[in-house]
Amino acid sequence: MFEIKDLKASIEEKDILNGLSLTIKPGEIHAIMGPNGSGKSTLAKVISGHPDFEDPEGDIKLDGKDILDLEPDERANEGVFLAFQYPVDIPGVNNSEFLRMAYNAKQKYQNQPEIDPFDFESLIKEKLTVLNMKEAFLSRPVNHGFSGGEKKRNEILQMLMLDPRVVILDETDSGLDIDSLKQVSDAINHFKSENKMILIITHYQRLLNHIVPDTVHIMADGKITKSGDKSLALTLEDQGYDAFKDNQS
Amino acid sequence: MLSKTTNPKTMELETLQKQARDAFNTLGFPTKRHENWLYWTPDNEQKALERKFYEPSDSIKENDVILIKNGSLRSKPNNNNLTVSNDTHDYQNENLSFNLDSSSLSYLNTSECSEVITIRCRGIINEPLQIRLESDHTKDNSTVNTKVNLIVEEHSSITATFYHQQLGGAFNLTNTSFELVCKDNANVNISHVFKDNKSKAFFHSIIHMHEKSNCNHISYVTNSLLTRHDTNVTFYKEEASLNLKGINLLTGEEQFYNHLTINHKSKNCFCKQHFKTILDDKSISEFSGLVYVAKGSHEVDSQQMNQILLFSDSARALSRPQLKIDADDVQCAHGSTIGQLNPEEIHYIKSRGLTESEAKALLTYGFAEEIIEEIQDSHLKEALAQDIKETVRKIKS
Repeated sequence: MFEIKDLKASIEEKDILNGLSLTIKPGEIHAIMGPNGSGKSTLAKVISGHPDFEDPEGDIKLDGKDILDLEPDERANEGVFLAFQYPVDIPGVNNSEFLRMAYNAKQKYQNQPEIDPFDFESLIKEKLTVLNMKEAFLSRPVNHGFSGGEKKRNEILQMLMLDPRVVILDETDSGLDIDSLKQVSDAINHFKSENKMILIITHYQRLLNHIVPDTVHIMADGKITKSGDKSLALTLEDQGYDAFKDNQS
Repeated sequence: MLSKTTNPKTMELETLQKQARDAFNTLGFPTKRHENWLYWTPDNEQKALERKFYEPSDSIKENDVILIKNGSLRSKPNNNNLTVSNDTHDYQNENLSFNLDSSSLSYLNTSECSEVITIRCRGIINEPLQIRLESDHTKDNSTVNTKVNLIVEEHSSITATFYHQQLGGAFNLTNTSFELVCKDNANVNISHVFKDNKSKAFFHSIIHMHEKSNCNHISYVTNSLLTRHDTNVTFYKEEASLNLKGINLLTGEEQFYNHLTINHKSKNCFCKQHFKTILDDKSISEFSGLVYVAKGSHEVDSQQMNQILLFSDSARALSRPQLKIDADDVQCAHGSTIGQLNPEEIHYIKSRGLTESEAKALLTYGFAEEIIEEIQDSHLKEALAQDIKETVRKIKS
């Protein structure tokens, strides 16, 4: 289970998250929607351990273990994965090498042996097929010179390879054309299983047509103001955020 | 000062040396009054510069590599497409400049060198060539003056790596002059490696680019006490192309001064200059680059970039990229960046399970990789990549 309890975070003395609480059970998909500036991406950053937010208050627990004091790499190796809204370029490091390093870092953290290079090659080719990506993608530097859509697909490739317990998708649908959106959605649905927990941060209902959430949350002023089933996203798209301003979940 | 009408082609070495000595006596040692010598002057090395260290070649052996030790030729390979000699007449048919319009340290090199070593490539040499310039002047306050020329004849091709290795203490100096002639349609890949040097090193490189010649020139400086490079490039004829690149890794109190002048005297030539320097601890680097496009040299494409990555608040970097353009219809650009690793990039890598030090090492290698990729000698490329990875791993921040 992934639990966030009374999470507070600020930057330059400005409060962004104001006591946010959220629980995702294994096998569940949750979606967070909210207006610009409501704190959605800050939530993603705080979960990943971004250094801009040094002393957030509250709890973030994965299977009962508090991860809020862990370094970002430790959180990742515990099974938390953030698909970035703006993935970073790493010139000079090819995709395949980077993924192998990340994969082996997790193996090492879990006291497992490093993956055999041939096994790794087979594994990564299998994952490329899920995303309908070409092998040439692997020899290119990480995200360097990638289109917006390629970067987002590369994030999903990393997710498939690292096989985390908890996934936060921060506006993964932005910058994707219709076909890419379907490919990415299919890959996430392929990844979904009874022990995975997925949190989708999005502005648009369209992604939720492909990945059906169990719960939809509306976020405003740094906390969850309303939660409901998938129909909430449709209502939100129809009525806008103003209709929910005074509601509390 | 030497007369501008001096023609080195017709001079014997002794005549040339006398003129260089006169020029040096007129100019004296560079001081801080000279704009190009603001940050390091050889004041403390004056005694060393005047006391030359030289061991004459008793015999020249055949070997896989060209070995030049303490300024004299010791071994050379047996290759039909290559001649290597210390015969003073071997260079006399070439229009070499012999640093005759240069700094006083270069005059001193001409004046004090005991041999002029000329490597001449005729034809295609497929295997990368190793040239080792070693100096082991163990007496304090002495200088090794080495003078090497590489002449690549028309339609010839060579890949060569110069390893500059200096033993001896901080009060010694190596003063090396290198002149490269890329004749019409020559194809040249040159690397200069300055590594593990305990002495101070002054290296003057003069590059002549003739019609349709192509040259990739890469320098690498690491673990070297103090290194100064003065590079002068002249494009004489059309369609010549030069990639001039460098990667430098400085830690402790190491210093590197990189001075560059590109003279475009012909139209329609290409020159890319790209230098990357990584500074840690109290290290210092200076870059001064000037691209000059002469009147009538149209359609020149010359791009200059100097990039510094700082790992320490105590490290210092000075960067002066400059352009002087007297022609129309050219593409020229110059730029410089000085900064630290991007925290967003570090976080991204950490979010994939790698530690902070692994993330920094990866990003630093990524910074250097663009230059490493250009190295044609695969053995050197692999060794350098490994070397940089090792050094980066040791860098703390």
